[in-house]
Amino acid sequence: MYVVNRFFSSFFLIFLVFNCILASSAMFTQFSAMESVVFESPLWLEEGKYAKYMCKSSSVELTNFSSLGIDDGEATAIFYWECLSIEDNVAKLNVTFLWSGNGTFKLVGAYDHVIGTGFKVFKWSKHVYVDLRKNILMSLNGTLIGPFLMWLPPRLEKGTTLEMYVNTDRWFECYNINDFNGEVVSDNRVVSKIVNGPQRSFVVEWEINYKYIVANRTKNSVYSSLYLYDWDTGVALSCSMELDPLLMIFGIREIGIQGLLPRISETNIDLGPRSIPIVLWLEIFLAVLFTVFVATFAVIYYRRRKIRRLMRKRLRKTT
Amino acid sequence: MGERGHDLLVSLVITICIFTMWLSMLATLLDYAVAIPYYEKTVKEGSFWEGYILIGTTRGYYVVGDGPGTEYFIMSEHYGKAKAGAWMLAACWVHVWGDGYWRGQLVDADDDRKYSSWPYREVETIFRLVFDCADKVRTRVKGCFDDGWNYYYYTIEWDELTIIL
Repeated sequence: MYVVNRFFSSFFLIFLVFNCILASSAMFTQFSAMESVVFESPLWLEEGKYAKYMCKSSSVELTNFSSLGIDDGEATAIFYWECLSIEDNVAKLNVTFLWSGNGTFKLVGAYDHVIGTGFKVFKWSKHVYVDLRKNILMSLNGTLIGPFLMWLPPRLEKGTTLEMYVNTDRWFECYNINDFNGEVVSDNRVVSKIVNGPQRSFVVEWEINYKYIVANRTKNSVYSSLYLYDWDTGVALSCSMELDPLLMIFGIREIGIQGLLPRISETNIDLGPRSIPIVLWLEIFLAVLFTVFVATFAVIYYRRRKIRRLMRKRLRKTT
Repeated sequence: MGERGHDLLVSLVITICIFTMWLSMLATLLDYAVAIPYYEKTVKEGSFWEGYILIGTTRGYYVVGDGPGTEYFIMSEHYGKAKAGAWMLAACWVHVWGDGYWRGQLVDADDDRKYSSWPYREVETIFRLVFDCADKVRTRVKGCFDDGWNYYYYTIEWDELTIIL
């Protein structure tokens, strides 16, 4: 009986300790996630710094429910920002969006219109201000537009939440953003196929609560978009650019991505050392394994061949 | 026939009456909401060998009935369904949205998105537009896929012409 009691008491103790560890780790995760993110001027940001993003695109969705489409061809979307100046924690940026391709272009909406055929380039460009202490996008007259997402503080860990500023009074034609929150969903992903080689990143999933007006009725909806930021600098490496205020100021809702998300294709920002992704490590391991196998097989084969030859020679000599 | 038998008969008659009333009401409702399929279309992007499949389906119905007063009206309902599946990639979410127009005016727009949950790699969602009249309906379907390294988006866009008198 004493043994049974001892067993149960020790089991209960272990169970209690295990639960305590679990609860404390959960609490720690919660508290670490609750830490508010401090926005500040990025160390790498200076006059002349720029980043260019590129992807294949099927159409450009506009904020008035119409869209620009391409038939019988492919289009490329290029998004570009350049820092023109920095004064009192406010950066002046030149923001440009280019959509070009070869095919038949049409404006799709209530009625379809063919705009033209052949090679065409559509360009939107504007100067904007960014409040570096809060990551707020502002127009040149100082009006607050919404959150600025092209960079974040670096090294944000999984579970970190971000509450961004929104101007609920600002309408982008038929759209109005109510709420813009983000959560770091991964901090160990490598972004490949970018200008400086693969880079380690953290992934932020932005949840956008917005409303839109249809036939004098207001409807509410939720959207989420993915942005991958460089681990060392916090600059966006890859971004889906849906309902992003930076494009909404041009009247663009989204850019009809086909295939890979838009990713950094040209920049003069030092993104730090290259990172080798896990998949590549696995590929290297498999290649090494295969080479070792082939080499061992070859060595064994040649040794056996050599032995056979020697045996034959000896046999000939004896006969 | 005793008192109990009489009560039983009365309750039986009342039950039959109520049941008949319900049946007739239901019949009227069913008659009113007779939905006739108007169009159906399915479009596909990707294939098994490409590692992902994105399917969009639209169905249009029109409902015939008597409106307020003596006015005759036709109400239309448009469904858009998106389905994303993946073999080499994982389907993260699927989004379907659309807008309906009548004589150049936007009459309705709606969207819906659904996330896939591990280990299920197939996900589907539906959106619905309801309008009295529409001469054009656009449907767009987008799927987000992940190969553990990169995120991929694929979009399909197409129109339905639904001329309703």
